[in-house]
Parts: sequence; C-alpha cells; structure tokens
Amino acid sequence: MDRIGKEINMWVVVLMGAVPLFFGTSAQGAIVGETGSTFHLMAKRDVIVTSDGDSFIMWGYAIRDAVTGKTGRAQYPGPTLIVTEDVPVTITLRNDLAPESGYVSIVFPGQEVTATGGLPGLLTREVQSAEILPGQGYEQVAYTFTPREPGTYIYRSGTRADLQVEMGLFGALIVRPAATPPGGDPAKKYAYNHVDSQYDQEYLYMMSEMDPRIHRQVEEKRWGSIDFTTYFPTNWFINGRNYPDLLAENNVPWLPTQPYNCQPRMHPGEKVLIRFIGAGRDIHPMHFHGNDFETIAVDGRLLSSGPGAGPDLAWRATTIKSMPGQTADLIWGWTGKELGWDIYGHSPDDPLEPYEYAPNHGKPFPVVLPPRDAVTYGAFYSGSPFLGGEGELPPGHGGLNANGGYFYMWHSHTEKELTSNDIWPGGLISFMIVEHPDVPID
Amino acid sequence: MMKRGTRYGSMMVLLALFVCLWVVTASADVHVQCPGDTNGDGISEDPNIVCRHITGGDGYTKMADGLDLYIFSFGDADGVPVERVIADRTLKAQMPAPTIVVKQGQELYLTMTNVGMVVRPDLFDPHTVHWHGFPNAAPIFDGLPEPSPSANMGNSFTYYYNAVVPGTYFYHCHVEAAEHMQMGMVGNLWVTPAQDGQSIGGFTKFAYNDGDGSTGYDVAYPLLLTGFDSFFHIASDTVQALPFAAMFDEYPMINGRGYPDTINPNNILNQEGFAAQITPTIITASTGQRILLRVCNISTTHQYSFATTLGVPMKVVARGAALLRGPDGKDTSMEVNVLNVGGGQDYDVILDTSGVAPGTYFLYTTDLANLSNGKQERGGIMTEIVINPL
Amino acid sequence: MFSQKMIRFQGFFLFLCLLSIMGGKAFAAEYWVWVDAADMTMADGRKVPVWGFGLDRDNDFLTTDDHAVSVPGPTLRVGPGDNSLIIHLKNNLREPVSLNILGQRLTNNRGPVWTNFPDDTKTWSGSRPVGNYTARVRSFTHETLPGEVGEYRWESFRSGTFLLQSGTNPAKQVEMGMYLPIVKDTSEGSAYADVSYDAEVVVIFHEIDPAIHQAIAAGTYGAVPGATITSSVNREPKYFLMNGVSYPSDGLLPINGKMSLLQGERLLIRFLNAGLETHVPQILGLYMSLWAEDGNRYRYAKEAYGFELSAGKTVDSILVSPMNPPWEYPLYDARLNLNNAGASPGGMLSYVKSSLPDHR
Repeated sequence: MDRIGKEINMWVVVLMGAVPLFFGTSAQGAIVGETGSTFHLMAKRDVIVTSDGDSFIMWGYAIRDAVTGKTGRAQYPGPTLIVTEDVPVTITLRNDLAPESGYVSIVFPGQEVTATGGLPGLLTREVQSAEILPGQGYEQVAYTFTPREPGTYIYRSGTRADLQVEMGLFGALIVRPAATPPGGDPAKKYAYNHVDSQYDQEYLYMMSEMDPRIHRQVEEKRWGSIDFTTYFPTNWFINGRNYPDLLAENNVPWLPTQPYNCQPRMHPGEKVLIRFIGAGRDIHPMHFHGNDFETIAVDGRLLSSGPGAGPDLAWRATTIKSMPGQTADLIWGWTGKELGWDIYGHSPDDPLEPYEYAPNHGKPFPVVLPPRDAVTYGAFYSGSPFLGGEGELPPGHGGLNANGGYFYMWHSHTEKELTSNDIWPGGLISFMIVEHPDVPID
Repeated sequence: MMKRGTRYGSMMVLLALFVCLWVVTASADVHVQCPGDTNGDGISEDPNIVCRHITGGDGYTKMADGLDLYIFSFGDADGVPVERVIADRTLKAQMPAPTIVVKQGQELYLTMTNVGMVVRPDLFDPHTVHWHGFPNAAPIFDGLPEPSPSANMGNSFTYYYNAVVPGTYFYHCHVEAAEHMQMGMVGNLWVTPAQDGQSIGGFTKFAYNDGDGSTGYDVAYPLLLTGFDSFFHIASDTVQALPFAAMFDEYPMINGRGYPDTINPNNILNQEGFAAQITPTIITASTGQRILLRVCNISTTHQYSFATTLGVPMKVVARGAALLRGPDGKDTSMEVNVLNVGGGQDYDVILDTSGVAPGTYFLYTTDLANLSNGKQERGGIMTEIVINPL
Repeated sequence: MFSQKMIRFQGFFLFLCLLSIMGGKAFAAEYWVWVDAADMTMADGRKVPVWGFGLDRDNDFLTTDDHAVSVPGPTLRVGPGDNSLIIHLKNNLREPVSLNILGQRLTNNRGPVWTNFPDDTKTWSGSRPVGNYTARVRSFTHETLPGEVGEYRWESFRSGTFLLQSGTNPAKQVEMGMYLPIVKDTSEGSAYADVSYDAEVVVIFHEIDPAIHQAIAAGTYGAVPGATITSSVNREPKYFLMNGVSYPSDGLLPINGKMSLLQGERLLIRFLNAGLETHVPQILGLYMSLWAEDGNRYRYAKEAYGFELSAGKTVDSILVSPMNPPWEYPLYDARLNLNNAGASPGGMLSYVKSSLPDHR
C-alpha cells in the first residue's frame, strides 16, 4: 500500500492548528543550545509545568546578555552549552535567588576548572545572592577551562547539590571536535576524533526527576522540612519535560521555562547520536525499541583499547542505565533488515529504497491482520503496517501519523517512571520516528 | 485499567488528540495463524516454523509468605481448539508467562488471544506482546500499542518474527506498560544459535555463535527478576484507584517466586488450585560443568544487584542479546562478582564450576533489603545452586 | 597481624627446603577477629548500635576488653606470597554468625546452615533436608555460635580488593555493620599485573538505617514475637558514610590523610560498596583509570571520572598525581547522598589530597 498524495498531509496539518507535532521540527537533527566560548549565566527562580497539569517552583540557569544586561527566564534544564575542543571556555555565574536559597555554583565533571571570584565552597567557588549586597549589584564567579577532548558532558550545581540539582540547576555541555578526524569527511559530523563516531543526527537525552514535596517545601520556605532521606520522586523528565510535552517543538510559548523537546527522527540507514546524560540522582534504564544501539563513549571518553583505536570496545544493547552525574554516547541505526517481509509493501518490480534489505524485497506480509473492530488502533498507527504506508482509520482517530512513519518508544524500563504524578501516560516516554526515505526531516 | 488523567489548560489540545483513540468494539474472533499446520493441532509440519498460542488475561499467584495476589499475565493455549480458548483458558495466567524458545533461522508465529479479565469485567484492556530487544523490529509486530493495532477482548493477533539473531530476550505486554507489567505480564524468551549441535571446546550447546566455544554451557537456567507491589495488585483486585505514584515492589522474585519457593521443584498452586507458577529456579550442576544463566529484570520500580557464593567470578559473555565483542572482535566480556540488572536489561552469565567443591551455594541479591517477601525476612531474590560430585 | 613472607630463591637446596615446609599453614595470612556490639556516633551526634569486627590485640582471645570493633572493620591484608587467608572469629554476639567473602572460596566450609523458619528451633547443616522446601538458609557458611571461636580458611586466595561480610541473615547482620575490606597484591606495590602504585587508600561506601539498628539491638527485628520491624524491605537509610564517617567528620577529610604525592605518582584507590544500595563515586577535576572490578583485572583500563558501584562491588582505580603537592580534588557520591539524617551538608563527601610534607 503506497502513500497517498501529500494533499491529505496538508489538510491534517491545518486541522492540527496550533500544535505542530511531527511536521518539520526545528530540531534539524541537531541539538538546540548556546554556541560559543563565553557564557554568562544567572541562577534564577521560576516555575515549570508537568504533563499532569501541575506546576513546581524551579531554580535554573538563565542566559544573561553581557551587552544589554538583560537576563532571560530560568530554564529547565539549563542552557545546553556547545563549545569547541581546545578553545578556552569562560562561564560567569551570578545569583538572583533569594538569600535563604543559598549560594550557587557550577561544577563541570571531567574538566579541569579554574574558578575565580565569589567565595570558597565545598566543591568549588560559589556566589552569594545579589540581595545580600544591597546597592552593590551582582557578585560574580567565573569558571574557566579548556576542554581537551570532544564529547558529551554535564554541568551541575556544586552547592548543596542534592537540593539544587533537584531544583533544576544542571545542564549539558557539548564539546565539538576541533577538526575533522583523520580519514574523515569534512561534510560529515563526528562526535569524537575518530571516524567511527560519525553521525547524521544528534539528540539530547538528559534524564532527571522531581519529588514534588521538596518543591512545595522550597516554595513555602520550610527549609527545615527538606529531607532527602525520604526522597520519592513522582515526576520524571527528559530534557526538562515529561511526556507528552516533550513531543512539542523546541521553544513552544506554552512551556516558557522548558525550552527543549525530545523528538528524534531519522531515515533508514542513518546514524543517530544520542547524548545520554544522568542529570539527577536516580538511575534510569532507558530502553530503545526498534533496534539496538552501540555505546561508543562514557564520560566523554571513547570506549577504546588505546589511543587512535577508536571505539573498538563499544558494546551493543537495547537498554542502558543513566548514571547520575555521568554521560554516555550512543549510536543508533535502523534498516528493517531480515524481517522476512517487505517493509514497504512493494511488489517485486518496484525499485529498491535506500538501505532496503534486498533479499526481502517483494516478500509478502506474513499474517492476516485482524479486522478493524477486533483491535484497538493506537494514536500513532497509520492504518498500514508498511513504512510510509497509510490505511483506513476508524472515525475519531486523529491521524497523527500521516507520514506513515515507524514509531519506536524510547522509554525508561522502570515503568513506574512512565507516569506523571500518578497519571499514565507521562514521564520518561519518547518516540523515535523512522520516516520513509521520501519524508523530509529538516 | 484504562485510566485517563485529567489535564488542564493548554494541554487539552493534545488531550483531545490522544484520548478516545482507543476505539473499541466488542467482537469475538479467536484465530490462530500457523502456516504448515495441516491437522489443526497448532504445530507446523514445516520444521522451520514454530507456532505458539498464548492467552492474555488475569489470574492469581501465591507469594512465598502465603499472600495471594491478583495478576495479569499470559497463559498457555498451545493446541487448544479455538472454540475452547475463551471457555477453558480464562483466569489461567501464568507467572512468569510461558517460556518461548526458537532456533536461529526459524520463523515464529505467535498468536496471542485476549481472553479478557474475569475478575474485572469492567476492564476492556487490549493486550499485546512485545519481544524485548528484537533487532530491526517493525511496529506492527513490536507490541507497542501506540503505533499498532492491539487485540481487543475476545480476539487474537498473530505476531510474526524471523528469528535471525540468537540470544537471551524476554517478552511482555506493552499496553499501559506501568500497569500491565507491574501486574505480571512478563515471560522468558530466547533464540538458540545456529552453532548448537557442533562440538567446540567440549560443548555442543552455546548461548551465541561464538566460534570458539566461549559461550558453551552444560546446563542453562532463566533468571527473570521482577517484583510485585502488593498494594497495587490488591487495588486492582478490589476495583480501587491504582497507586502509580506510590508504586514500590516489596515482593522481589526470581521467575515469579520469592525464596524459598524459588528452590521448590514443584509447581506452586494459586488460590484457585491452578498451577500459575511453574518455573522453579533451583540450579543444579555437576562440579566442573558450566552453567548458563539467562538473566533479565522486568521490575517496574527496582534495579537488582546479585552475586553467588560459589567463589568463582560470574562471566558475563553477552548483554542485550549481543555477544560482548567489540566491532573488530575484541573480547569485551566481563568477569564480576556482583552484577546489577536494571529494568529492561538482559545478560548471559556463565558460571564455570571447575574446582568448586560439591555442596549447596546461593545466588542472592546484594541489595540485601530485597531478601524479603514483603514484611517477611529471609526471602525475596535468592535461590540455591546445588553442585553435585562428578 | 600481618604475615608477609617473600620467597627468596638462593639456590636449589634452599628451594627444596622451602618446598618441604610449604604445606599446611605456611604462607598464610592469619588474623584473630572479634565480632561484638558497640555504639557508633554519627556525624550529627546520634548514637547508633552496631555490630562490628575488630582485631584481637594478642591473637589469643584470652584477655577480655582488648579489642575495639569498628564499622567498617579493619582492612585485612593478605601478602602477595600468601596462598591462604585464615580468620579465627570470636563471636561476642548473642546469635550465630559466619563469614563470606564475595568472590573467594571458603575451603573449610562445613555449612550452609538452614533452619525451620520462622521458629528457628531446628537446624540442618551442609545440605537442605531432602523433600523439605520450607526450610530457609540462615548462614551461607558454617556458623560460629555465641561465645565460641570459629575458623574460616580461604585457600588459593586470589589477588585484588574484596569485601568480607557476615554470611548469616545478611539483610540483618550486614546492615548492622559486619563487613570489612580484604586486599591482596599480586606483588609488592602492584595491585594486579602491570598495575603498580606508589600510594594506596581504601574507600568504603556504606549507609545506616538507625531504626533497623535500634530494632536489631533491642531484639525486635525479624520473624520474632513482638517485632517492630519484621523485614528490611522498606529500609530507609538516614546516614551515608565513607570509611565509617560522614562529612564533616574529621576522620573523613581528606580520605587519604596527609599523603604527599608528587607529580606522576600513582595513587591506588580501592573502592568498596559495603552498603545495600548503589552509589556512584565521582571525582571532580580529574579522570581516574579503572583497572579492576570485584578483584578481576580488566583487559583494558577505562577512563572515567565516575562509575557505578553496586552493593557488594569493588572497583580498583589509579589516580595519577597531576602535579606536585599541594592539591585537592573532591570525591563524593554522585547520587548526592550529601546529608546527615536530612541535615546539609553531610554524607558522602570527601577529598583526595596531596599535602606538602612536614619539614620538622
């Protein structure tokens, strides 16, 4: 069953109105963030919303424009900072939290940091709230480091980290390679200095959680009640949002403090880089439907037997635990090979699609699907079992998969975490969409 | 339970789109698809085709402290005439679900018939089968209800798998995963390698096509770790609101049983007198033999670490149904005394008992609080390894 | 008592002489260890009852009050030339105990011991009674009854970093504090083949749930009449410790004392998790090379600044001193167990430090 014409797609887009979901995400297969080498951050208080309709007080890093002096709203997670290998990085931090919230700071696991300004803290230098110094404006602490290796890193608060990380003070740090690796193609993208780290799209998977009681206690200034020994999260986040909020685009106006989405898409045969970060304090085993991934790096270091060997110790699996404060880089791909039937529903004289598994070309679908009234059609079922296919859908079905893409749930396998404070579905659910080769992913 | 939470404000748009897509119409159609089955016994005459028939429904299991808990799971319907399936096989869910084994290169036609939930006639949940870890899967057979059709009550869906990649997997229902998996819809599944039968390094059975016998074994046991939250199961049984946010597994189990039921070689009968728990976990070998453990964890709330008292390292030869060899063949297998298994992870572990004195040893969780059957101590994730003299 | 016997071959004759006396207890590390009840003071001043191991001062168990127990117990060293480890265990508690080293084979094991749970009025030793599927194991290895001395021998002791725990009702006795580290090098100054070190520190992560400790000390824990806590399934630790102390205790900071490490020198950090939940040790500002796990040397070292340390696991890492002293890097649990019964700062936070040597 081949795809029907594009007119129906456009009609559905119009119907969808103000909720653009899968049609042209602005992600461009690249990670949204701040690119540069000098960043000015301000710790601020704000609010986030969760998919069960609740809202929590949050402390986040906001971007401060050094020229205009204007500071944006705090964001959860903090801004993804994109820097370049061997280029010195400077990050300044000021504190706009109320004095009783404490000092703030940033630590950068894996980097050799020099901190100046502010006051000495337990892990690094910290900066006190601007309100403590009336009339003196903002104090500032500066962190400088030169990333020696490309890769995926994390930054987190270094002050009363259990509380401040819970409140939202963390973000991703991405270090791009300084040059094309030996034997590489300058037109392609590489995560590390080796050709085996090549990827076509990259997506951030930054895992965190929240215990609403802590946020209520902060909101009500019941500092003495905060007790992490009874920690019991009931909300979980990927890139700062729960499902299904994470399906929406980056920077949607109705999630002003949660700018990042999680909506990976690809075509068969492409390589997707997943920058996987454990931002909170709990371990989340993320399971990837559709195919296995290859773990090529941990903590910004290739799994390698020696210099120049590349990720020759990479391991494959479909599930990986996020480790608090640690990072991993995964490469995921899908071709639908060896399924035993033609995933496009071709007849034998149809041409091959890119990366199509030729021995299955034209092979018939192996079973009879039950009639429509014997089954429940999922929201993302196109009505056809074929990639790019479309079929009759029951009345009332939203037709959310007009491109006939293959949806794979990438989710936590601690299934309790697929809820948002007692509401199913929520939490750590995301979908990778493998689109038909003809469907543009901009 | 099909529970839809209320969302507020600007989420109503998405809500309107997602809710009420579960269009359900009652229809009764039990239908087994098994190519090459000429006499209707559910077995294909084609040696390359394996047909299995399981039910999706409810039942009961008995915890090691005597507590009876309501469950959802899959049951056995192999060879049952289609007109008898609903009549005979309701309330017969097994925990774990029936074990599925195929050989590399075989095609599996797995029919799952949703026989409904007898104890909860108010529920109309579909069920699915997700083969966890199947490489290059297509959504139509992936068992994820969101991008596929899932079988309504009284109906069957036949899943097709071309089993080309050997290894240790597992399967479970993916409808409302937090609920259905907590309720117990999980089972063991593995694919034996094409290398089986060849003699390499003194073995004829292997976990993978290792080429050198490094995954060869003498005896093999599944080790399906999971847990039950008794409050959740009791709420489901008594038509109460399901406590998702409070979910916490306090009955940790191996293959559906807590210690000492893990070492009981007999079936455990549930409160209906039905043998719902038919997978003992007593591990037996002769000294010098190699034991293969096919390990997975499907708890919806916990990760579990485990160790043995054998005094020999556990050799992890594969994870996620992939041999631990780097892209250019480097040996990346691991030798550990303690292995942590997160939800959704599977591992192949070889215990080489060379030099181990005959006797009884223990496999147990080092997250020691999980050596409990709820509020009863000295239970939980533990079993015994009996090493016999040669 | 340490037993370090290095074999020096000075001729074939001497070699033969040495061979003739190599049987039995020669080339064994031998220790006399008590287990006793004590009180441990937490960083916030709270006293918690514990059961700990301690070394007997005179190796004879004859003099009373000549042992001090600690949680964790003292680090026992097995010399590179020692084939065996022998522990004589004196049980000063009021219930049976036993010993279990994860990853080592107890050679003289006369256990396990099963009981007719919950009454515990009958015991069976060595094997489960035939046809009895309700008896439950109480001890993985042979028991040492209250007041008695038991002997535990591990022959062909493998080199590496290992965790010794009670093998009796571990959810209870290990929680209560019965654990200690055991280390053995492959040769002088080498933890494993080609893993040499200039300095060494042992870092043990563990937690304490004081409510469970109180119940155990009061006899109201477990399947006993009048029990207030019948199992530890809802365990909720309140204290998070490294080497028996929590931040800001003096004994914790820095974790490696007043060590002086010059640039390029190699510090071996032996990590152990004697607790009952996973921790993620993380160092800030440096990478470590992870060389072994559970006493098993990796084929290739792993560069990481943190790693998963599951309950019962050991990991050996080498930290290369980046410069001459002084320097200091924070070492903490990335799972952020940084409180003492909820009060901040506290918990699993310390530093690895290189100090200027004292010139006095």
